[in-house]
Amino acid sequence: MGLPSRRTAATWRSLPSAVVSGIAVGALAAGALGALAGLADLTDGGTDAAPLLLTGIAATLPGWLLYRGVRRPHRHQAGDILTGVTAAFLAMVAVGALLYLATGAHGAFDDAVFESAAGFSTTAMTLLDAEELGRGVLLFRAASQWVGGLGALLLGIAILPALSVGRELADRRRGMGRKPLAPSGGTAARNVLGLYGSFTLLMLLGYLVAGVGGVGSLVLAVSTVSTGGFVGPGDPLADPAVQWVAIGGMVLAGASLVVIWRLLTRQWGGIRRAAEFRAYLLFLVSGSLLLAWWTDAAGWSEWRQAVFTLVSAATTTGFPNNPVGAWAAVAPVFLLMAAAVGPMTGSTGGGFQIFRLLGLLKLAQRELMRQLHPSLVARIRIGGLVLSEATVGRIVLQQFLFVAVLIGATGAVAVLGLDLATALAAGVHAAASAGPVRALDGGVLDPADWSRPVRLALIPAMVVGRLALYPALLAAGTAATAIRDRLRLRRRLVARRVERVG
Amino acid sequence: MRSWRGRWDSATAHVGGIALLVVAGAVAVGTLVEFVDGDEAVSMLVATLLIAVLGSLLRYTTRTGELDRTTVFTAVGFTWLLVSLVGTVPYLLAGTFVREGAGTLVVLADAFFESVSGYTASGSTIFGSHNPIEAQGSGILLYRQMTQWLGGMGIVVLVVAVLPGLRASGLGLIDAEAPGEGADQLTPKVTDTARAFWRIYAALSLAAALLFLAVGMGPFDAVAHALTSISTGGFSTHSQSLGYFNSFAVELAVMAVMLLGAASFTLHARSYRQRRFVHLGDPEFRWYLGILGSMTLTVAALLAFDGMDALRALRMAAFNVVTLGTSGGFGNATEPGSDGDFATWPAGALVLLLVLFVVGGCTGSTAGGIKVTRLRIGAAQAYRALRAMRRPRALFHVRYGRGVVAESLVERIAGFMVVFGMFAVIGTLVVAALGTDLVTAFTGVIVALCNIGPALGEAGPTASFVDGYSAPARMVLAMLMLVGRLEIFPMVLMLIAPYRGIRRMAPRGPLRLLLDRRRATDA
Repeated sequence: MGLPSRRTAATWRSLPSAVVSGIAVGALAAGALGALAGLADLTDGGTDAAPLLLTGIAATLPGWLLYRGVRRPHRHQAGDILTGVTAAFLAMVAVGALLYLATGAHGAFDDAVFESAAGFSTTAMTLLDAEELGRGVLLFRAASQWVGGLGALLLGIAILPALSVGRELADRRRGMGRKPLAPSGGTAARNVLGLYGSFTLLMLLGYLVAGVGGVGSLVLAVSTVSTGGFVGPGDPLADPAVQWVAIGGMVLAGASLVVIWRLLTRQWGGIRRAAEFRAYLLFLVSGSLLLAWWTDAAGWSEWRQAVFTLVSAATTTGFPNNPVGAWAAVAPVFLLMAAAVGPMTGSTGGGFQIFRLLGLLKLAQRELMRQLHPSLVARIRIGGLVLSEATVGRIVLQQFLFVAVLIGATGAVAVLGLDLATALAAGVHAAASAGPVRALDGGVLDPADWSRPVRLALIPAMVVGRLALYPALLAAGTAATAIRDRLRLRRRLVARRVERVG
Repeated sequence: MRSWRGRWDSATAHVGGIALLVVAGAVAVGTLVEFVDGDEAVSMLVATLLIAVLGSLLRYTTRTGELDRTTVFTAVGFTWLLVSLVGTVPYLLAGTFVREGAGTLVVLADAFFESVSGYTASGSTIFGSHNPIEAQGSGILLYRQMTQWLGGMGIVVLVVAVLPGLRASGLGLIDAEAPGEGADQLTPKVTDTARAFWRIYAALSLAAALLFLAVGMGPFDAVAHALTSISTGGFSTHSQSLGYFNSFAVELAVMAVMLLGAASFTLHARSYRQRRFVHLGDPEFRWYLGILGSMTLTVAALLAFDGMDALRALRMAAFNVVTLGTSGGFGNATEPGSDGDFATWPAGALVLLLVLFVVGGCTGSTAGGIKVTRLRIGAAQAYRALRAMRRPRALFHVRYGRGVVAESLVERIAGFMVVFGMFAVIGTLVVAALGTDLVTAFTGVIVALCNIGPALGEAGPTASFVDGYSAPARMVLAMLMLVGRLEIFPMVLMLIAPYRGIRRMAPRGPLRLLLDRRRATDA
């Protein structure tokens, strides 16, 4: 009897299949990105080309083979798919770290992991000086953010709604002349990729027109659309024209892709009803005015700076800029809160997100009314959208988990040596995939000044925050359950053996 | 409102009036002491008379009438606001907060802050190096301590205890004031339940005073600290708080009393009836002890790691974890920067203390915070939601102890946590906008909402709130203390209810049309 043929071989169980597929896809994506960056490096002397190409290919090939080798079941369980997504994310971070190590951009493994996690989670924390980076590494770092942003969009619009999580938010319903963004998983992925790619090209063009060089424009464009926040060499964002382009890009990147899709397909009614979109725009406008007031903005340039700073924080992009003028004590507090709230759901931005905040506000209002009328039955509506109780429960869960991750990250970095204010700011930014971390006077803090254990402690929060919290926690839960079951099984086997011997 | 034998139907005014008579009694006790040891006896006597007259006017010109839920919330919220406002009269007449450079408005704000901090059993104080506690007469100090004692068990519970004929409506009043998810009814009659709670409270206070005497406090200090430790208030008669005594025995005794105060009074009542200690059979109390124990060990390890002697670290950690975890708020720092000054502890320990602020005590206790039961049920709900995502078709229950928690309670707790979080975030932004840094603003708001006492940053255990916050910020914190003491809803509904009343009573005219249109839009 020979080996079973590929067609007749038994399919894998849901969990191992999802995890191994996830690892394979993650390695494949990050490896391909590294190889492409290696090719790009050849146009700039190619000092990092060989390590990028070799490591990239070394990750891509096993990834591809692994992906081909998995006998996937007809259907995966919802929780296992989310575990697979987490595995893919972790694989990308690991391959990214190997690429940084191979090129010598980072000498220490933990620093490389931090850089990679910050990139793929679109958190604007970096240890690298863009001035000293070769073209290959620079582009890989930027591209890692782009992939992270794309992953967030696919997770929010294609994957989670397909698993009955946040269905209300994805544009799935057909009929009545509607052209939904995500009628099915496959179409959703195609549409998301198309929109995201076009938006990136548009931003590239915008930065080029504003006078930024080719590579600089590309880095800024991918950082803007992914709300990543890495910047290329020089200080391109000091230019007012570039700042305006960045502001426009960040506002669009923080908007839900569903809203952008409706704008493009001229479904005006849907936009009018989008309460979250209105709240988002209102928050950006009123927040900019408040920040301008609190930063004592007098001239046109200071007003622009205030708008840029607020939009950068509220969309969780995190382009770094030092404070201009005298900042009131409340200004950094406000920016921290803006980062924690984040932009719209269905965008590349992180944070708690405005839709959930609106959901919580409505829940609070209902609870107040229930104090007066205990048997009140009321559904929560946001705009024209009626939320199911399951969605409301998940929003509350999200709040609970967000606070738990925040406390965990803050506590960890505080124990490891950061002062309370910095620890709180670092914890919020890591959990919200935002940046840059600011001091109490508004100055931008450099993560390179923190100890290595502090940076390591922030990585789990970045990962969990980027994955909309529960996929990562579900993965951890699944792993814990699997280990527990394995231990129980072993204990049972040992007991049976002892019984037999006895 | 309608006239009935010369009395008006107003539960709000009636309950408020009785509460003021209770306050007048407390001021009268302070006046007597001030006559013996103090210079402000006449001012306090005037304050007693003023408050008594006002209370009598409200009490004897009104009656409770029918109590619906709106009235209950309005009555409770208004009573607390009224008591806090009128509670400033002794301070204002005695000139307690008059100091160089402080205008009339600031003095008024300070008196209100101290009064609110007292009645809500918070323990945050205006006194400091600019205005030492020791400079005050014994009478005013005793009144200050009594504000916490009255507020600890709840003024409205006391009102219900003395108010005849409330029947089921009385439980609504107690529910609206009691910490946690409603009050347990110990006896068939609500009035008897309220009296039972107060009897246990008084007995424990007496026992605490005797204990403090035994461990070396003077008679006045023993009584004063008994009043504020069983109520988990935290006011002291010394600027250094318990650091003044610098005695491990005193700290141990205060810790024991605060633990009793932060445990459910229903458990105390049950223990008394059954003549055995039933507390350890309660899952909430076991969790609470577990949290305090593990936090103590962790904080002690962090302090020892930071260079403090291990045993001293354990003592400092144990005292401060218990005092903050029970929302007591006493300090044991002998001077700024000393070992007990937790504001100067390493940041890791501060994060743990911040978590303790929020946890608070047990349901049905005198402690503030979110409460252990709510957090446990919240965590169980989060776990259920995560499990449901793995198995979408399975039906899971939220379990607590051996029982299944009702969905309505789970929803109520989720709602409470959401509203609490919103108050914390918005409060922090407002206090920061009034000129406070992030740590001082955030911790100030949390300690106000949880009725703890000292904050972190510039308002630590050895500092005054004058050092950390501007006068408007202190007013915001005072309001948050009231909101936190009544567990948010009554104070908020007190503001909403009149609006609903106006909408109902508004004649058909532009206002009614406007309100109706608004309602139609809402629908």
